Amino acid sequence: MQNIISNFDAISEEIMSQYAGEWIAVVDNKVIAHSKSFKEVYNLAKENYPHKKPLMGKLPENFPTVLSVY
Amino acid sequence: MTFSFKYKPVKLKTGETLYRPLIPITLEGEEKIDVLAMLDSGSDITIIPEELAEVLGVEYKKDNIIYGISREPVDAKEGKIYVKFGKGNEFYSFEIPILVPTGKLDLPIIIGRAGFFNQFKIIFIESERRIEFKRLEPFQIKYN
Repeated sequence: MQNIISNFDAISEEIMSQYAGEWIAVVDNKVIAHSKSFKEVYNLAKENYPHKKPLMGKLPENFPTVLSVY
Repeated sequence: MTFSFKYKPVKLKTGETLYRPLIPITLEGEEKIDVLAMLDSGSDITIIPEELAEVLGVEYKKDNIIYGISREPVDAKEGKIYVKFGKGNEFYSFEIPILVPTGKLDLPIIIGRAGFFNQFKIIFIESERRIEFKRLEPFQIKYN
């Protein structure tokens, strides 16, 4: 389970800012794919790193947001 | 035992830096997928995008409606999913209810209160830009 933590720790301010609003896949602490589509990024990660478990993230936008839902 | 995650910084278009409470969590369905999610104490329930729910093979129990801050209703389907969450030597698995918006609602994964916040004592330490979690004892967990 440490893989998920190290991939999470690798998501820096630079990554959060560069890919704001996009899905990213992080494998071995590096962003290996990004797109507006979850499936596109997930499938790329599975194809190119079949034995690795990517951390998938839809990064929040780079402007203030209110997300609460009820 | 407690564990914590630091807020994630993002540089805004204005040049300012904003720090957000994001956590790593594993969603377990037909596939087990590690995801980055926003921890949102203001959301009643967890929200998962439809594309992700499809890959996880979520089984839906009923239809529902999501209301956001704008009060515009969005159609959604309601289901449940297992999650695994923790850090270090502490990982916990449990089931949470989810809503999957079927309309066009472009949101990150939001971990809301139902089924998650009752599992831990959660402290948002804004001054240190981190979230601290302490797992509750089974007798302390309330399910309603």
